[in-house]
Amino acid sequence: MKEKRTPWPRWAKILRNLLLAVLLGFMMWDVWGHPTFFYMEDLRRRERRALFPEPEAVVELNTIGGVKYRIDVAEGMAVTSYPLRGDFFTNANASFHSLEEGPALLCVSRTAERPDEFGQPLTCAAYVAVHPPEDAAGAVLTLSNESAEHMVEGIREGDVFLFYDHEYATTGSALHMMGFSSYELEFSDKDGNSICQVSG
Amino acid sequence: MSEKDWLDTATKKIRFRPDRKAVRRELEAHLEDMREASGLEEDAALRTMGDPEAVAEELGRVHKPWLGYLWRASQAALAGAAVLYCVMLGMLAVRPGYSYRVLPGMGLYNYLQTDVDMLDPACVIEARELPPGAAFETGGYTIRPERTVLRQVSGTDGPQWNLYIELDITLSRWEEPLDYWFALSGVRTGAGTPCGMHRMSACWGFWQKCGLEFEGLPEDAEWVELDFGYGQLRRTLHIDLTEEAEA
Repeated sequence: MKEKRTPWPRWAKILRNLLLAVLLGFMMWDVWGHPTFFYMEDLRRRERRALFPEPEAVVELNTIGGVKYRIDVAEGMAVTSYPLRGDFFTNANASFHSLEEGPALLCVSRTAERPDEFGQPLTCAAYVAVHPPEDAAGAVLTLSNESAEHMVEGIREGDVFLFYDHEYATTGSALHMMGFSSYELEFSDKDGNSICQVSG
Repeated sequence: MSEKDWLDTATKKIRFRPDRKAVRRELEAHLEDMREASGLEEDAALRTMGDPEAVAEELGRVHKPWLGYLWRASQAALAGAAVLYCVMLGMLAVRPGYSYRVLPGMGLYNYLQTDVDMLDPACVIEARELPPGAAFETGGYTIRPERTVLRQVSGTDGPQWNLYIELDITLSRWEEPLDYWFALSGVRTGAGTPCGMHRMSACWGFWQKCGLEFEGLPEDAEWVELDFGYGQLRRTLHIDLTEEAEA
């Protein structure tokens, strides 16, 4: 006579089902290419994979559509990013920028948004100067092409200078920059003396 | 009291329905056995079984419903996960470029069969194996140089020296390979920078292998240094190219 199999105790069945569900969940995550589900998680993962350390400076700008644009700066590298809706999850649309020693200018690839004096949102192209001289109190960005020259005053925010250009503000600064053939970045101390110039 | 009423009363305090049904079946079978064995009438047999209210109290106390609900929830979770997995496999199977992922073990197969040395051996004129350099750890990655080969190859502009480095990398997180495009932050040689670089990488689980081929190495270069990472994560791999190092 065939011996009747002892049924599994209920707690064992629960444990088995949960373990199998977790295993299936892991397999789903694996076949879907290991999504991170959230923007910051995705950004951190990209930074970890590039051996990018804890950032020395972090800047966040408001851009159109209420999207936050983030710039992480470390020695030798800066990462610009913003959240981008993927198939199912929000990813980080991140770009890595190699930095030489000294100040460097980064373009914000999305149109920035700042409140005007009445509190209304005003669109503008934005630039960020990273690694400014320590004693820099002011900065001026001069954008020029064959026919025109255009100056923007910088605003110090922590360890960086931000430049908001309202005049040529129909699109993000990466496109904005294409209208200019060169730029000059000049830092001055608190007495207004020029202490450093960078051009490109 | 009829047998049905007795069973209903005795099992009424078992809140989890599958348990109630099972216990009822058991009591029914027990009653049946008792009547067959002793020849008792239904009333007598029920009296022998005891007061149904007292039995209900005892059974209600023993059969906690939460374990049953948890069991049902675990079944639902498993069924949901299985359905979702099948849907996901179906979606990936029809998605261009993703269909290989649905095959179990494909990632491991790719990792094992990927040759990170991209150079055609036919164009190698001379090859010198060098000490691979010391392993190091940074940012959760353990980077072990497995092979370092200095080889003279026939290029379009005549023979040139290339440096091939094979890295075996252990990852601290599942399928989070080193992004060697950005992680390699600097390359220096004793006599200028090599002009070009080819890279190849394969990853599975916690393992990654990576091949780097630096082209057009200056002939008088005595060493090559590769910087990995930025800031406090920066580590340097020093490779000695001299004849003494080879020895």
